[in-house]
Amino acid sequence: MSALLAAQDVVVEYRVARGYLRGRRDQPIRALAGASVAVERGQALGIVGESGAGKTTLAKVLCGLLRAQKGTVSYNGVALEYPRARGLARTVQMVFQDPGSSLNPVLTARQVFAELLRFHGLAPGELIADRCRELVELVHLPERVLDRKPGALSGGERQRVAIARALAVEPMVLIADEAVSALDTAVQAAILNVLARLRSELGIALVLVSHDLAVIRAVCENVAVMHAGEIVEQGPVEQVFANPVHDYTRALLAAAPRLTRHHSPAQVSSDGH
Amino acid sequence: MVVDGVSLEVHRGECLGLVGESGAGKSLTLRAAIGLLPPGVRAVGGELRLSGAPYRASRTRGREIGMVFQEPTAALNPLMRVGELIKEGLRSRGLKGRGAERKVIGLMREAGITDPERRARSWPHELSGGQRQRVAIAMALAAEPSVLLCDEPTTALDVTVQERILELLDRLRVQRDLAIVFVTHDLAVTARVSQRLAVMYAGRVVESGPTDQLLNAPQHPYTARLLACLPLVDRKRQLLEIPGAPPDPSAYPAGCRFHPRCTHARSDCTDAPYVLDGTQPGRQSACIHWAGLQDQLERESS
Amino acid sequence: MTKLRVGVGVVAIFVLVAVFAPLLAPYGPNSQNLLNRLAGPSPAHLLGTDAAGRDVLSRLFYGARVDLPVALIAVAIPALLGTCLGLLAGWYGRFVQSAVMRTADLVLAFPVYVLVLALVAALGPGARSIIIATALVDWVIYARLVRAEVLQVKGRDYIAAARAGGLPARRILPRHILPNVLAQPLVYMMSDVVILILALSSLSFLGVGVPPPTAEWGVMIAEAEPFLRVRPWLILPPGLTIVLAGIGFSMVGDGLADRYRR
Repeated sequence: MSALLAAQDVVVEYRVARGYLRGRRDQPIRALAGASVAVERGQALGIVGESGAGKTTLAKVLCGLLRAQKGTVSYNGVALEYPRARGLARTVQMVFQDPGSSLNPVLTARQVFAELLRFHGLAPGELIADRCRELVELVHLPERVLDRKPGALSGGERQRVAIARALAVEPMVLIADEAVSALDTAVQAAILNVLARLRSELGIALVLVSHDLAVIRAVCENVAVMHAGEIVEQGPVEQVFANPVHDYTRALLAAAPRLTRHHSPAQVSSDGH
Repeated sequence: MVVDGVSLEVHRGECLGLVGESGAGKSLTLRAAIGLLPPGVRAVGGELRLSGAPYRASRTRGREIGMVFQEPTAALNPLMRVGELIKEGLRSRGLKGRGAERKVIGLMREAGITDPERRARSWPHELSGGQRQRVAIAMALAAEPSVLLCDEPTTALDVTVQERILELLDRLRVQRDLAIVFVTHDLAVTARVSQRLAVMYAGRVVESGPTDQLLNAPQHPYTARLLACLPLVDRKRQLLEIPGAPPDPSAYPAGCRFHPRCTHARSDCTDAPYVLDGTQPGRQSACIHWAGLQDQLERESS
Repeated sequence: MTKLRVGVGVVAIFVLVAVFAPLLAPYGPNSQNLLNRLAGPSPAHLLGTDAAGRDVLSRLFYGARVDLPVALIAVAIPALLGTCLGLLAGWYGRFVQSAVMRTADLVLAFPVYVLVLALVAALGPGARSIIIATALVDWVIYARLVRAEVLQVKGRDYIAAARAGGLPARRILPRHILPNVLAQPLVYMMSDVVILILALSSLSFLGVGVPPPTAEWGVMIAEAEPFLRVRPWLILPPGLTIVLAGIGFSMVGDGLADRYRR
């Protein structure tokens, strides 16, 4: 059986334009150098790595926001084109990092939800209001946020509205790109719980991009460790965290701050429970 | 009144962690100490003592008290080379010329900057985030401070870089016998870097004490719940949310400010006076029911 | 915020005066009284009379019916045109962007005033020529402003989210991008109105704008100029009116800018 959403040997290069003077041929910057990941229905895959590792690029390719120069993204075994066909565009949705820029400042949540529902014909006119209410309930927000603009919402509320917006188009895969890293611990816990619940209740597959190993551990079954545009290690979270094979994974685990004190960082990589 | 009645003390060679959610008043407390409050904010009371003697806040800028900020990019003048930036701090001590030059290199080496002679001629934008933070630390050290205030200095950095900066701060603390106040929202970072911890909620310190004791056996429900919603690297656990949201500074609840969100709140919490009471040697809690809750809180937070 | 309120107040007064000029003005704009020329202020003529014995106050009121609409229309057309072109140039990039921006550079290569003067001279004097000439030149500024804003907004996550939601450009551009890039051109529009009132008056003063005897502020200044030595106060009412209108619109612009910057 093929995976719900899979990327196969994806390569993305950026060309940096350097003025009009010829002579110096620009070396393209390789953001992704042949990355392959897969996620099954209802599963959660963590993608971990440091800034510049290519996590966000991979997330955008999976979501169809970025064209891959090489490699394919497939959904239920069928390769997806770029740009995606209208019917398939909404199957993969994304939640972004910055709660400040993830929502349009001039539109209320209701306006955004209603536009998407109407455009995709997901709810008949008279049921749109009901569906909007359901959407905010899904992310544990009170109904009144529907008619507020993002400026009147807190960071946590905005991230929940962003999740609800992604859910409006009834996706099968939800990609969260550092969606909780700008939030306080308590708000982060609430959002992570919402994401976990969406998996069990709606059967949505989750791709969680994060630099925080603890966040990945709390939510995901599988993890892919990225470094310099490549996936250096991939497997079940328990296994990778307990017995990291790649040096970079070990370094990441060693550097992660822990509540239990009095350890020398070097030992920790081997004492996962 | 955003921050009120906050008292902190930190000793030579010690790092005090100051944790809390955004809006709890951590940064304001720190800025009040150094006289760098944002416009529209005023310190209406309290004093700062250094080695027992009262200290006037505004005169301490860049002298006995050094400061490192979250965004090294914003703290470094982009039009000055790294070496000149650090030299600025030396000027206040009257160091000039060749001696200052040598001192700059020495400070950069102490801050763990590789190849300091070459780096001194770099511009801030040519450095990585971690390198910039090292430069900011070297700048703070130039004035030979006895206290170093750090406002989320590693939040914007990758974990491996963060770990190295924390190592550096640890080393400086021991070698220079520095007193460090480290503000962060990340309990795990606190555990790594501090010996003592003060937890802030809604403008007040609700609990303080030795870091390991406080994290293993919290004596305030807020600390316990904060610990309970922290995901761990070494094992998977159910994250416990804190119901509700932090109160707005314009409408703090009466009595214990945490009581509307506290699962252990009783009727007398609504008019409990704010007293940071000693519970054990070196430990204080503002919860009036701490004694009866100890076992529950320890279970809840693990 | 008070800046915005005062500005809106001043502009509103100007608009009201223009609309109700026939009711407010004590005399007709061109009713002459050759027996009472160049008279000083009096209860009958609050601001005196001009060289043809026309009531200065009445001509000021009627002048607002020429200057304001011409300036507003002359700004609105290029603002609309430039905003649309800037929107397309910013969103599509490549060919569209090159075409729009190179044309803009071409227009900007000439000094604006000289270009407008030349165009007006070629099209013949009158308000319509001024409107056409301005439209041909002024869109460039709006196009550049809007394009720069679009390039920024395009990178925001909410636009990526709209794209991920499958929405096509014809929905994203007007609904998600346009409202977020309007602040800059709107603020500029206000100062542009001031520039145009001045331009209109100067062109009339130079004799290539609104032809006399139409009551227009620039025309009034031109007509007062020969008497600058003997009747120096005659030039003050139209001059100060232009200054006041300029201050009003500038304050609206500044106020709007403050509000959007927050």
